[in-house]
Amino acid sequence: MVSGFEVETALGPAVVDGGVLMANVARFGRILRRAGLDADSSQTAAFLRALVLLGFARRADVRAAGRAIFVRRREEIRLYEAAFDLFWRRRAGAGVSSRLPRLRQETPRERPADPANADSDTAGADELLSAVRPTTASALDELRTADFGTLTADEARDAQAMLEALRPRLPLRPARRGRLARRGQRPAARAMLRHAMSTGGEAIRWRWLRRTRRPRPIVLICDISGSMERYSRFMLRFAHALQRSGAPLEVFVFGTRLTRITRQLRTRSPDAALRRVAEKVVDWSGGTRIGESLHELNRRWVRRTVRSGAVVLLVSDGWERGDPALLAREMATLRRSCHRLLWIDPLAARPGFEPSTVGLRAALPHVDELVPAASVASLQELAARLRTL
Amino acid sequence: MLADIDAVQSAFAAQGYVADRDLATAVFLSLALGRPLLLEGEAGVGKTEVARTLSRALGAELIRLQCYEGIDVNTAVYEWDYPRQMLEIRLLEARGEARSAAARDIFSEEFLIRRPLLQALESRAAEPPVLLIDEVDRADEEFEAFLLEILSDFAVSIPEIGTIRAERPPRVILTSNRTREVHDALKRRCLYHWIDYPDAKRELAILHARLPQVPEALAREVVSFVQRLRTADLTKAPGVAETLDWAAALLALGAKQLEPAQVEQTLGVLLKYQEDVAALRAGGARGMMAAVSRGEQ
Repeated sequence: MVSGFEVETALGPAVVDGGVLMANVARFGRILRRAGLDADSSQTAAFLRALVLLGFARRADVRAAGRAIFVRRREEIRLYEAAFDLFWRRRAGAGVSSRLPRLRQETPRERPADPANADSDTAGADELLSAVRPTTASALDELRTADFGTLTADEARDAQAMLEALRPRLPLRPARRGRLARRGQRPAARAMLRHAMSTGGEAIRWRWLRRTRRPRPIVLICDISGSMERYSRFMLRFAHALQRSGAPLEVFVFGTRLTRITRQLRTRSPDAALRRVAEKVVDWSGGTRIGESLHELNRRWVRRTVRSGAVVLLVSDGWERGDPALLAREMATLRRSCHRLLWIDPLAARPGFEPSTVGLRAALPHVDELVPAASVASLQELAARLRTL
Repeated sequence: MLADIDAVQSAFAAQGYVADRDLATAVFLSLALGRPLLLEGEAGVGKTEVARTLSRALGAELIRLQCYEGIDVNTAVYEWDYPRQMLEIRLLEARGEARSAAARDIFSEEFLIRRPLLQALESRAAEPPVLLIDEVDRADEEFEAFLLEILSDFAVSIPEIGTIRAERPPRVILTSNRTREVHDALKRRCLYHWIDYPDAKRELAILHARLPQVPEALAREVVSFVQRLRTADLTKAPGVAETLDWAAALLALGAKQLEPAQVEQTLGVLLKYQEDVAALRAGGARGMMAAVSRGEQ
């Protein structure tokens, strides 16, 4: 379609090979998809048009144009920036983290928005105009599927940023109140009468109520004992992503005792939310008493927070110090008071997994489903599947 | 007219809106690619103002659709004027005119009430209007699906009349406060920009542009105080709108610089939650004042 055309570059006007440019824009789209943004062909086409409009003279403009086109939520901004850097930097190296630039951890407000600095490297745009080594994008895939327990500190930060951009499909339940609609299941008598007033008492147009659905409450209970240390902070990011998606959410953590952290999580920034959680919780990385913690949940919180329609996600590896018989009893009680009870186990993701921990063996008969979850990919999958529960 | 990013930036500046380059890029692309622009950000960072400024900069009409829970086609696009139609029927009956003619006549454009979306599509002005769809996150998902249709075709079908199509599509700006996530399909249609709180330098520029009568020293202290306030643990941090209101309030009280007493009197302009006001009265304000007067960053 395009063979060559003139654009503005840092070195003045230049004729660009349209084929190479298009191939590279498509590659950039693929990198964004690997990073977890869903860049589709209409967006890459828009980006291509934007590049032709803007030229390549200012890299910061190209960056901003791509941001406007590819990003759809604030949480995706960091991922976009990282993918952009990745594409532009073309660094060689081994290992996941060396190929993936560390995502910045400051809040966006503190982002070093220094336009003078960003504009100084204007010549960098020529990556879009020349062939690029095709392997870089797979680094993101490796990170996505890697077990949380194996990540380095830098990789963990990138994985957390991916979780931040998570888009859960919330489970729904039928709502009691219908909504007025042109077509529906039940006639809307009141609305019809009201409108009949204006037509001299004759109901000329039928009005209907349509069935509606609301998000189900979700209760997430996360084990934060020593054996879960490498996983629990990712699970809390997951909880925060659920919270941001607008689900009616209750979150508890437990080690030797149960702590409700619903309020602490209700902060927009996940970093700030987790800081507040850390201040509130006293038993990080200690022992585990799942049975007693669930007893506390069942006695004090179930009627107030779980409600019968709730989906309960219990995150634990099942290392139990307390009495397994108590755990089994409490699991049975919890199961009866909710809609679905899922046990989410990071160990279950390992090859050749057998439910061997005392806690899990006691709990398993009362669980609707055992979900292995130890990587970004598995949590993404869980988030996408919630609606079908 | 707004042929490149710089033109957008300077046109906005001429209207008193201090836009950073990223925002100007998003606005420029929205115009150049003919795509709606979705603006998100905390309350009071100037999302709605972007649409107002754009309409003034283009010399175009601004048509605003304020979304709310339960908004539907009748309030957003068009509605038939039922009472007038009833009267017309009675009139025709009284005159004993044939019924067959009536059905056609009462569903003519004469009895059509035009709501904002239809107005935007029907506009024949030289410059296509700027259509502001404000706080789209407050509308229901069904309405979003409907918006999506309109934003892809810029046409609407009225069964009794036919399809009304925009000669030239309006420039569309959507805003959202993120009380919930806007549906992906709608976002896919749009360009996206997150408007952050401005840094101290830009906020000072905004204050100067909007309220040039505020003395320099007071303006600096106001901005420094508000910037500090945003880092505190508050239920709702003040937006730029609050900064401007506060500066105007202090000006009305004749302030030349920040005084603890006046700050406490006017805290209600900045903070809209009783807990926040109480927390600040309890001591936070004085500490912040001290830091501001020492000129710390």
